[in-house]
Order: sequence, then C-alpha cells, then structure tokens
Amino acid sequence: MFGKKFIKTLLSSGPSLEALPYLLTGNLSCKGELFSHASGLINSSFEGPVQSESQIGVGPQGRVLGKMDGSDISIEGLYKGEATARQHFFIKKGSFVQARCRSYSLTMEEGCDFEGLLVIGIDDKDLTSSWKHKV
Amino acid sequence: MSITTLFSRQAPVKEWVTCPACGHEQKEYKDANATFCHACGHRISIQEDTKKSPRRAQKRVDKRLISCIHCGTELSVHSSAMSWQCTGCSAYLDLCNHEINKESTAEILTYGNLSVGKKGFLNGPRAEAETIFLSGRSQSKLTCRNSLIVRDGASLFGEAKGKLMRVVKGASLKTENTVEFQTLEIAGHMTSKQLIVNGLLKIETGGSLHTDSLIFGSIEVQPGAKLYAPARSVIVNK
Repeated sequence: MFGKKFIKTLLSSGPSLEALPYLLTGNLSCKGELFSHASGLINSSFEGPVQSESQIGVGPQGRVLGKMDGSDISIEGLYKGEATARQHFFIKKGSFVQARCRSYSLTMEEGCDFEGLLVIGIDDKDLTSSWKHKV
Repeated sequence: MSITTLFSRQAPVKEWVTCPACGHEQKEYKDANATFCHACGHRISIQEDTKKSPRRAQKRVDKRLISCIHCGTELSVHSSAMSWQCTGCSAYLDLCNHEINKESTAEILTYGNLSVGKKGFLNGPRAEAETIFLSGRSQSKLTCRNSLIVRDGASLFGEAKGKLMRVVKGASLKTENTVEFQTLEIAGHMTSKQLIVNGLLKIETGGSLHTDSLIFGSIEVQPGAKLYAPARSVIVNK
C-alpha cells in the first residue's frame, strides 16, 4: 500500500509540520467547520470539526477541540476530540492530547501527554467481528 | 651408526601449549602441528601464539557481575560456575539454567535462564531469572533481570516485570494480571488486563495488542499491526 521509504520516514522522524502551509495561525480563536483539500497546519485555537483529504497538523501553538479527519495527522500542540487518520497518526513530544484515535499506524514520542482510546490498524470489519465485544 | 649413538639420542624437545578453549596448559612436542587438550578435548592447532611458557600464559576466565537477591552485594562470578555463595550474607546463589516441562510449585531464583516449555506450568510463589523463555503457563510472580521471551501459546496469570519483553512472531500471550516492562516488542498476538511500558511499546507488522489498560512511555505501531487500548502516557502520572 505504501512504499518502504515512505513508511520509514513516517516512523523515524514523522512528517515535518514546518513544511505544511498554515490553515490558521496567529492569535486567533475560531469556531466552526474546517474543510481542506490540501494539507494544512493549525497553529491557533479552533473549535469544531476539521477535515482534510491530505495531511493535517496541529502546531505547537495550536489548540483544537473537535473531530478531526485526514490522511495523516500530526499533533504537536493541544488536541481534544475524536481523530481518524487514514494512514499515519503522529503525536509529538510536548503535545497534550485527550482523544479517541483511529488510524492505520501510529507513532507517539516519549514526552507526549496522552489520555484516551487507541484503535490502530483495526478496520470496521474487524471492529464488528473479533474485536466487537471490547469496543 | 653405532649402538651407542642410537641410545645416546635425546628425546625431542617439548613445549608448553595453552588450550584456547579452556586455558589448560600441557606439554607437547615442539614440532607437533596439532594435539588435543587433555582437559576439555578441544583440538589445538599448535602455532607460535599458543606456545607459551606457563609463567606467561594467563588463564582467561570470563566473569560476570551479579548482585545478591537477598542482600544486594555485588559479586563477580565465573561465567561457567553453577552456583555461588554470597560474600555479604552467605546465601546460596543458583547460577544454573532451568527448564520446566511440567507443573512446578517450587520458587525459582536463579541467575541463569529459565525455560518454560509448552506443557510447563510455573505454579510457585515466584520465579526470578536472567532471561525467561515462556511457551507454557505461569501463575508465579515473574521477574526477569534481562528479558521475557514469549513463544507459542503462553499464559501469564501472575504478575510479570523486567527490562524487555518480546512476543515473537506466531506466538500468542494472554495475561490476567499487571505486566510491567521497560520495553515491549510484539510481533505475535497479546491480550492483557493491565500493561505498563515505561519506555517504548513497539507493535511490529502482523502483531496485535488488545489490553484493558495501557500506560506507556512511547508507542510505535507499524503499518499492518493492530492495537486496541484505553491508554495514557507515563507523563500523566507524574
């Protein structure tokens, strides 16, 4: 599904948030619904669902409350909610996350502050069969 | 050649040779190419470096450091020794490897390795070893100074703790009590009640972990691996 090089990059250092274009930045505090076709970084406060067809990042200054849906999700700031990454979920050192996370693969660095539920590599078919009784 | 010349002939010169395997020294003819060690039977190829005078030859004795289970005294023991006596508290220290292939109700405290076979059942109060290879069942409180390697279909009903735990590919493990390790690597399948991994939890491709409670330092779940866990990072507890 993914190239070895791609996976290796994801697992070693994680996607670089610096390379992402800003969706929200500065001393902003927004509420609403955010949808993006491209990758983007949120580096300010946002409350509401966030959806992207590509990569979403929550920067060190970012505070996001709400559902999040993207192909890759990287968090370096604060996040509370329910997040689904179709590919890789990356929680960096220094982040604060209270969430129910679903993804295909996951990396959490030492020094992150996480509390929540992890459902990784388990698709809906699995959830309704062998893993159903636990969900 | 006269008879006197024949009888006056001196015996060939001998030299000291040191066995590279066990350090045993023995005399061999100077011109010999090879011989066998009188102590261990090892074949010695006689070259210049093995021909040493006994005074210069130093026996190489591998040692390892252990600390007494009872009093904590640091001891330097021969790696080939089967047992030792603590110089601090005079306690007997078991250095042997153990293999359990049936039910065992004994308390096992060893500085060697412990293997629990498929039909093995550790049912004693506790078991402590350097590395534990688990293929069977255990109700004992396990302490691994080095690592716990899980093979086949194993069950852990008691507590377990140590440095490294590895569930190998094809193995499945079910735990009913708290399991606490510094590092956990899962290539097989594992279900557990409570899991504490102070360092890295790594689930390799094809591996899976299902736990009711997970406390972790860091996590790496490779593509193709599965994880289901209500979790919190170690930092939350500080």
